[in-house]
Amino acid sequence: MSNINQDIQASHKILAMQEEANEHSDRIVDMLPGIFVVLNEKHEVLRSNVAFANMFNLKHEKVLRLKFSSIFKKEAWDIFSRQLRYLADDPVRDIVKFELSFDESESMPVEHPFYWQLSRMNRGNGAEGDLYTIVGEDITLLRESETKLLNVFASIPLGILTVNEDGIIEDTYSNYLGYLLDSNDFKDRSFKEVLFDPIFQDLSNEEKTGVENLVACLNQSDTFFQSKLDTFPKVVFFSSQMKENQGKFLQISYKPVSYEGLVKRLLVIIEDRTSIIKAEEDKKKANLLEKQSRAVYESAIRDPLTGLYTRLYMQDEVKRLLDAHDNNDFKDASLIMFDVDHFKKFNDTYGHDVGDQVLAQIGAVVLKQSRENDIPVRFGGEELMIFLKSNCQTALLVAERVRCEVEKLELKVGDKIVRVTISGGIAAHSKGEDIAQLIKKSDLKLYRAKDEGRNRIVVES
Amino acid sequence: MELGKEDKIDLIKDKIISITRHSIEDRVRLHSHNTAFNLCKPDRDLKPGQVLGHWMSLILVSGESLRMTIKLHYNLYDVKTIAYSAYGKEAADQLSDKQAIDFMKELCNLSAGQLVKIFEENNLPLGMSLPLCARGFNEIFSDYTSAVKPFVKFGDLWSIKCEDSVFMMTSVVEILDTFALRNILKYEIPLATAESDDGEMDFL
Repeated sequence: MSNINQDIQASHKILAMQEEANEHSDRIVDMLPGIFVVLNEKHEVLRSNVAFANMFNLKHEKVLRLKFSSIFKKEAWDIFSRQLRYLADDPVRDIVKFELSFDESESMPVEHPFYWQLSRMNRGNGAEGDLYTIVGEDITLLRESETKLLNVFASIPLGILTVNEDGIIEDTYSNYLGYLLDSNDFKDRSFKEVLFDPIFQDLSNEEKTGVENLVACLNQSDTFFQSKLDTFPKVVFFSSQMKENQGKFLQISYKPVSYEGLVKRLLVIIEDRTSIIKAEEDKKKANLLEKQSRAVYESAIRDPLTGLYTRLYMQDEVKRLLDAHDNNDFKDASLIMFDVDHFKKFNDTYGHDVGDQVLAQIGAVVLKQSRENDIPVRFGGEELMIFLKSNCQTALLVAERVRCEVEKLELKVGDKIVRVTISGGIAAHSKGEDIAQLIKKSDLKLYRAKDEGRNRIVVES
Repeated sequence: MELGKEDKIDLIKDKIISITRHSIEDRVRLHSHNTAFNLCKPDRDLKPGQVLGHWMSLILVSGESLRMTIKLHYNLYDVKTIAYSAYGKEAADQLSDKQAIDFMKELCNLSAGQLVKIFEENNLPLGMSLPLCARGFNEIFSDYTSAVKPFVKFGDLWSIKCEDSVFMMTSVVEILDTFALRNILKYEIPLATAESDDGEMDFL
């Protein structure tokens, strides 16, 4: 084979490959979703995708030289052709984007919103004049989703609005916003004027600065916005001039919507926190009252000197304990009654202050040695008691521990170390006995302990 | 009277146009088995470089004296109506798109072959490229600009019609050797369609 023939064969291979590649690319264009067409300057279709032809029930080949205006109703085509002219007349502008719906028609039984992008194309050989690429995206589903979302927004108890780069309210998305801000006139009004002007004089200096920062952040960089975000007012008490006496605590959140690094829109969400804040305040008041009541109650049932329960508490609680014993809720109940030995003489010798210190220390011992279910009580003066859900033997063990601990106490009075002792009497509760009877029995045993030399415990036999 | 150089170029141009148009007409009639096809002016005010069909098949014939690109512009439905019998089918819709495209590429090939044969008979040897198929839209990138320097260049647009079937044709011709091409002026275009077939449809 000659060199020329070999060259021709090689060229043919390349041509065949190129033909296949071109067809492959063209098939990709054919399969583009939505509408893709190239128009000449008479607005005739020179190239389209298959979806476009299908949309208007045309054969793909029959679309060639279709008047693009024929797919629109007159009003819609007026808008569309105006956009084309806009692109044609402005050599600097490469692309025009807009939204325009197809009205109901034979081929489109329901209105379909489309998002259009028109761009200028290379004129090629110029035989068709200026060429335009048209891309149309069916945004019906997007709009339906938006509508659903807007319905949700409209019904939720939040105020939602968007602010443009100039601080003007663009859109509102919630019916509740009108209630929150006592107005229904938001369109094209300044966000600052609507939300902050009615309460500006009531804002703190920091909040006023925050409002100014907020306005200054629009159309600025994301970074700048984020650096100022913490200063923006988060919770304000809003009271319009219309309803001066009926204010609301509004919690405001700010979400920037950026384009090419600049904050072009602001999504503002306003929540009425009035009931929550008032509930929190009421809860604080209730907690304070409860604390005060508890303090009063504690002072009533606790002896401030010894930390033991008072007779007031004893009347109720010990009665309950003895009733429960009467009802066989537990097997045994008993009472230990203590008395400080020679306490009158002690007071006379060292004074009542020292006497009180002794009582406080003995009270601490009694508390320490009492078990969880025991009821330790200062009965009066230097008489201390422990009511127990136990028999006398167990009560004796408790009483002995108390007595021994007290015996070890050392009280420093001036240069001297002073010691005290206590005596105790124990009696078991017999079913049907009241408190007074039980105390009387224990008291008798206490007397006996005193008679037998003090610093001892005597148990009812 | 001896003709001037420019007059001669115009005569050569007209001759090339006539030969090309009639060669293709001849091939269309022959291979569609339909002698009702006739050359005609395009219905609309069209010019070379515009998009004339959804598809186009093209081929290059080239030699030392001449370079010519021939393009057939068509829609597949029209092709199927003339091609189905060549495939032995009973109806146009029995033909696949690929078969229709192959038909037009082969028609391109045979038309170019006919041209080559005519020129070779007049001592003007030419070669042929492969026939190719492309989308008609690509025509907006074709260059039909007329020129006289450094060589004569011109475009042509015509159509062949039979009832509702219309095929648009275009060509771009570059005359590289006017002197050599004088030979073609002697060629007389036959009045009748060729009956014998110097080029059978290869795909059949």
